[in-house]
Amino acid sequence: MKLTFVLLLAGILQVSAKVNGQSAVSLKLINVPIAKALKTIENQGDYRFLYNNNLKDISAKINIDVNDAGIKDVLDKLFVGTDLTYKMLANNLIVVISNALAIQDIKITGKVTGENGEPLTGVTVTVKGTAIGTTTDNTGTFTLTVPEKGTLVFSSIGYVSQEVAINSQSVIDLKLVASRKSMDEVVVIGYGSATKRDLTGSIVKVDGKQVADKPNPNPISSLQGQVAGLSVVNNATPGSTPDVRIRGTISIGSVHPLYVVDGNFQDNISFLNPNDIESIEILKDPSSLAIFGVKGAAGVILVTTKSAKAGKVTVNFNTYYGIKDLVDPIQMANGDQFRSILTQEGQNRYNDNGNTTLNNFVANDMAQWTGNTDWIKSITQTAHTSLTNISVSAASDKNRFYMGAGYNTDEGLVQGVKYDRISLSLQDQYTINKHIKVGFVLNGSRENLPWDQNGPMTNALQVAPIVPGGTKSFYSRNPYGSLTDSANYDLYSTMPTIQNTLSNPFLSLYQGSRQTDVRDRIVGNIFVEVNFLKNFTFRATGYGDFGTESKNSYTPLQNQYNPDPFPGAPVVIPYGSGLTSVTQTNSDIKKYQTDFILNWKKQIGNSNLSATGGFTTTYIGNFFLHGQIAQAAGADPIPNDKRFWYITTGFGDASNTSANSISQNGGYPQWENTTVSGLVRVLYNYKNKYYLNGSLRRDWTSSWLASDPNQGQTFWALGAAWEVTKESFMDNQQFFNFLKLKGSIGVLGNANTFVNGSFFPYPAYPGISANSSAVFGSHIINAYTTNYTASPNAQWETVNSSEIGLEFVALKNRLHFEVDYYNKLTKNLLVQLQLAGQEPQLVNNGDIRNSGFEFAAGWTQSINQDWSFSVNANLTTYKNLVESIGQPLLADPQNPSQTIEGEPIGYFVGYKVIGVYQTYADILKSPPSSVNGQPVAPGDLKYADINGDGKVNGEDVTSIGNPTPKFGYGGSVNVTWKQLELGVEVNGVYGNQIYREWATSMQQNSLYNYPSYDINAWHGPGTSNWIPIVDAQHLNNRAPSSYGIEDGSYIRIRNLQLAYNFPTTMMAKAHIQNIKVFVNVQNLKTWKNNLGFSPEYGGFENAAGGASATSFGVDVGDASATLPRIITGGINVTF
Amino acid sequence: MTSVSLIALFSGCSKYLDRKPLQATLQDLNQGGLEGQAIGLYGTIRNSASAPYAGDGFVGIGYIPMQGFRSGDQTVQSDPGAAGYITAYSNFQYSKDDWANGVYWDRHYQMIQIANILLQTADSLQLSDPASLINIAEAKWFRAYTFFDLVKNYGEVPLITNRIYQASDGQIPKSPIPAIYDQIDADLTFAEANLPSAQPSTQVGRLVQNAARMLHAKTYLMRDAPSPTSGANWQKCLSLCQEIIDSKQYELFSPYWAIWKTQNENCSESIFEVQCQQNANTGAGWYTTYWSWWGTEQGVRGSGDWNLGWGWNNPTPNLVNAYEAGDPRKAATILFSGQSDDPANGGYGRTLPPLSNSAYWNKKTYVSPTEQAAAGDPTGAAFVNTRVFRYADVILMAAEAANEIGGAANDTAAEAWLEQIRARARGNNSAVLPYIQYQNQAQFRLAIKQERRVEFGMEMERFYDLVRWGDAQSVLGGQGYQPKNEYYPIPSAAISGNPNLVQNPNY
Repeated sequence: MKLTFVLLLAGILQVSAKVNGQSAVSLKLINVPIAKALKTIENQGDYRFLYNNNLKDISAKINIDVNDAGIKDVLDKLFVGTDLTYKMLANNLIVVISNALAIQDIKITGKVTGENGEPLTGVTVTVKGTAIGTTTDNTGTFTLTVPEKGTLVFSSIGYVSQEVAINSQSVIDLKLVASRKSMDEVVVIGYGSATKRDLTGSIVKVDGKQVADKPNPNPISSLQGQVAGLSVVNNATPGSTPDVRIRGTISIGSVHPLYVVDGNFQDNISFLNPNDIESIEILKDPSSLAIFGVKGAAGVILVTTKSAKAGKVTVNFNTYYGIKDLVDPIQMANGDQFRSILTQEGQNRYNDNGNTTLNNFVANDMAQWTGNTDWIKSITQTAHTSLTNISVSAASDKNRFYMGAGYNTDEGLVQGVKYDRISLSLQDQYTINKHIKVGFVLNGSRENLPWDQNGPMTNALQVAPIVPGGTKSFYSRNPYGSLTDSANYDLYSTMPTIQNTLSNPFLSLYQGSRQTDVRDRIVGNIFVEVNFLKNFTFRATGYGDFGTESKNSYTPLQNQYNPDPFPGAPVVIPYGSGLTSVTQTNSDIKKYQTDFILNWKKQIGNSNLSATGGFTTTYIGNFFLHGQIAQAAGADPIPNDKRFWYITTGFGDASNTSANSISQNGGYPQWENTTVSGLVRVLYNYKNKYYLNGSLRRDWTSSWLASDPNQGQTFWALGAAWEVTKESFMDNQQFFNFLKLKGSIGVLGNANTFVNGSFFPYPAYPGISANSSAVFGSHIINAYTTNYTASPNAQWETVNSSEIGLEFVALKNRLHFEVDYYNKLTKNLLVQLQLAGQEPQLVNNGDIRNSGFEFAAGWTQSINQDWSFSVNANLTTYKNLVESIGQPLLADPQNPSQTIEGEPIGYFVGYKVIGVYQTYADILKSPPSSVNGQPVAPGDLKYADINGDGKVNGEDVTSIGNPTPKFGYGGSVNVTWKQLELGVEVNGVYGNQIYREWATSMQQNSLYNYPSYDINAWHGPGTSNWIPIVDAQHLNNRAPSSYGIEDGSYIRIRNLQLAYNFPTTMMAKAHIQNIKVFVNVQNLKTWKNNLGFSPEYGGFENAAGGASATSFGVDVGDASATLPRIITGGINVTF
Repeated sequence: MTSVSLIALFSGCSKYLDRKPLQATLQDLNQGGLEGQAIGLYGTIRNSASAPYAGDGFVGIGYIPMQGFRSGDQTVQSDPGAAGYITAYSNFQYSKDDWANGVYWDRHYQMIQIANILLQTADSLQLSDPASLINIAEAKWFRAYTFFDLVKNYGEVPLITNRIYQASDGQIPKSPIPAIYDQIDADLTFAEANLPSAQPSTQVGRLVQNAARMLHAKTYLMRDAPSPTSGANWQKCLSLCQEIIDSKQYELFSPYWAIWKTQNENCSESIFEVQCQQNANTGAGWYTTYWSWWGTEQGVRGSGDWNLGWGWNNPTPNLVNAYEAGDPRKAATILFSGQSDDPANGGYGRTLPPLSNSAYWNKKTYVSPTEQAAAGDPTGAAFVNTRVFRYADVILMAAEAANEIGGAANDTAAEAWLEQIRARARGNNSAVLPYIQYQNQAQFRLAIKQERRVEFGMEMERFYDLVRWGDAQSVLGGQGYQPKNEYYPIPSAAISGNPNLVQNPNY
């Protein structure tokens, strides 16, 4: 019955265009049930009947004989003497009901809206237990004549069905909650779209709404913890890109996913305004990724920008404003603690070797340094963030138009750090006739990127609190002025001699080099789509992406004062080189892409077939210019005015060609890259029960030589799925609404040209270096050598990827559950092999395996008209193993990250601390130690003799931690009560380690401030068995060891949002469809176990703009980890 | 029709895919054949700024601890982060996995490979014209120079004399020390015969015949260490030194401190320098093509005006106290924290701040403030030539060999040679560094040892002198020296990369 009903409804929708006819009916039946008679009429093709099989009289036997009669006559005859009556609806649909019900019918109207008050079209509204029903029109309204007592059932694809008791109401307005896991949801896949049901892979679709009102200029930041398999580590620097990895770390080079924006391949989406995003799809498995060929192995994030939906003109205005605060500052010593610890270190150093330097400072100079400055607090601020966006969309039968404009500002926690972005989005699609559609998309942005915030923050951790934080007025010379131009100037303090390698953080903040950094970007495409021969669609798209970035920086003149000069009273001294200079850098990036894609779709018997084939090309060109000009010694300084921040400023020493130059060095390369690819994909299913997906792509690239057998490389995947719920043996169970088993396997590619920290735009063409040029006196005779040997058969990294999984929907579509196991083996890792006595070689040599489970579960339920809620949770386990690597990447004396065979990527190596040597007797009892070449003294860290050779030395370093979590998880709870919505998002990781480099192995170029815990450092037997003696010269304690290892597990309330939607009735008069006001708190609370600003440390950003794959989870105490708590309030209005 | 369009498509694609770099590759250059490769040898020994970074093993931060810190006279004090090198090198707590050792080994074998490539090229083309013979001689000199470094630091090492094409070509076992010296002898004999006696002024400092003689003479002193060198080797050393002296191409440069001034690079005393130059085309800052780390590594590590470098080669109190009273070479070699830079002995009239990280600094890499400013970088003491071989060493080697061989004529000559060195150091101040009369071999041997120590203070000679004299145990024993420390352990990475390589004894 249920199925019949659905099919009937489908029938209604299909024939809805037909005019209500009055076809004649002929019928001759003897002693048949009424139902059979109705069926016979249906079989004549013009009428459809809706009725409930439980109607008592529907099986009453009748005789009838009519010829060419009107339908009404026929039915009247049929129903004579029964309880039955009928109603004629539109489209020759006839509802057969009991007379008893018909009498009490009332007319109900109502409006069905989505979560944000947008009207929902095509929602099916039926009376529970009957065949009475209708669908909503394109304003979301419905009218239905129904029994007074009864229950209405509202259902729509993509939404959770909801029941409402009629209770004699005549108006029933309702809001439907989206079901996030509908199997019939259409998802975007590479070069097309499909329903989730038809696919054999793992694709997660995220609605654009989820990222629109979060205070993150980069939309991916808002997905942290919300998608299984997607790891996002945020960077607190405004305008920066988070470290995003999908299902683990697949390479030692480039590991960020491919972003595909409306079909255009991109490395990041920082140019996009989150408000312009319609949906984001995250693709993780081979069957979804193979179609992206050599770009697919690290996963793909597909972004679809907004286009107009059918309906009238909609104007949306959205704005938020928020403040950001530092919540977990690192605890460094304050003034008194510093004095006390420094005194202790002075004594310790004196005891060691009679070194009196620190003692002399404590005795003679320290009194001059009266500060008690909390440097972290001093240089940070309560920052502001805001976004304002307005969009207009309009659609007619032929034309769909969307336009959006936004302005985003985002300040950093370090004073003066500010990012802003203006973004524009424009889309139009025009249907010329039923065969041809054309359109274009244009996204533009202008970003002002902030000046480095890490320098001052790193300084703030190092500078002693006894240095005065404020300024002091000195009658001194204007460094820019003439000799007589003196006045009172507010100057910052210099550093004490014990910190002679540091500088005042305020100097770099306010008087150091400064820069403007403007990035403009226009990304767009035009397309034409042709439908022909019924089953074919051809689409040709041309993409362009133009980016320029202009950086102008200026080094000013500055003075500082020294409160403790040698000898004498405080004096004014110049800071830095004393020469102004200007550098100007311009980068120009052009990308072109063309796609020619043919789609064919056909049903043959029980087989459904959809095939996609195509041809695509890409071109990327990067062009840089870098120049600088410096003031000559004794010449006029370049004024501190942006007008002069250009290399043709006219200032500077034109004759000094060494100081004024256009750079030719390798930091500013010019390069171009092209690819040509062919692709095929087939989606097949048999009876919507057995599914097969196959895809194949071959990429040719300019990166390898034409003579290289691997210039073209083929990638493929095969996936299969079985929808178990379609089997007849599942008919009688009530638990599962949907159950699918799936698996896929394939070979994907990683077009990584980032090796050992260097970017190789032309890996097949080794660069040359004039470093071999000879210098003879003042004569230079050029000679060039190649930088490395290129392998003649080099190829891209390949990833053998597989997945097996299970997905079900159960308990009246309320529960959704999915589990997947993934296993990926990266082969042919591109490494720079360095053998003694040989030129480095760029070769493929190494394997990395990533595997794990993903779990995702959700529960969505409407309790009643007022209450509904949904709960979602996900968890991903990660296991990474470097199976082999041609060239190990070894740890260095400061940084313990290492990548070698048999260990996880970037794991930490160091000594294992088993305590602190308390006494000399303790040292004598223990194996002799020569870590960092030094003998140990009481108060030093005691390391384990791992290899048991009776000595503690370099051979005892061992694995001390893994930066990759055992698992990451996240979840959300959304509760709606009447007009109020509450959403809470949580995320966390478990089982990873952080290596804290500050105050442990970080190289100190002079004495640095102490962490406040050093107040409890070892200072005599029994005083501490964990914190070693304060003495930077005890190198034993400065080796990377488990002393610097911290538990990286954390759980965070990532986001909390409370929103109120004004009732629609209130606003109808004002022609407002919806108003939503909201308050959002991001990073409300983090439960963490480490001392740093946050528990999240992504890979250090590398020259290619990605994050380092082999060095992450290291806390260097810089500002990128200062994840703020952000409180925002906003309003979203739709007209 | 279809096939025609397919062909058009594919040829279009291959054209579209043909992207050569937008900058020169080696194929785009006319390198001047063997001469280009020979020029490259001089750059290779200097460069550290990009691959192959071979300069790291010859003038870089790997070289300084390997050749300097084991002497007892040099160490690193000023950089707390690097102080592990004090104990690894100055205190002989060797670690096989030490970074500097690995770099030193790798870069030396790279240098050998680059020399071998030149020799293989010449061999394959059967080049025998006079210009090519000079280039071959240069390659052999560099190869000998490099093997000499290896043999004196590691003892037995793999003797690779052919170009390596694949890893297995280089995976050969160690050769005995005499075999390595045989190769050095063969290479240097060829170099002596084929290098020109002088170079044009545009190529000042390029190898000449006497540079081969000088290197060859030094290798004779080092053989058989730590036992006394045989009479034959003393004689060979003395003959080579005598040939250099007789050529009259060199003279001691006066005053002593001026040798290290920039304007006196390639001065009359210079026999071989690793040369660098700030070049107009590569811009300001530290990252230029003709850069050498030498000055930056050793410059005073202070702040502001005194941020001259990393301070990675500090004199020890041992060296400070080694000078005779009033010896001007002390003030020319050492800068003292908190004191004047001593303009009378090569300073610029500036006073050092009372730096807490080290009391003493190497003055032999101290450049003028104007040069520093010209470099455009606070640590711009960047363009300092490494004075590798200077004529004073020839004189003192001659004196030492003559004294060891003995005989009246030799004794007289030794006395005169020693006085040449002391006279130059003394300058016009007759009150210091008195004339030393020859009394007996032992007395004069001690005098020469002392003279070498202070004349070459901070110049990476001391450790090898102590080893070859057999004095290492008595002088350095207190710091932890044991007989095995004559040689450094072979880096673990080299052993794991070559199954035929075995570690040095007792490591």
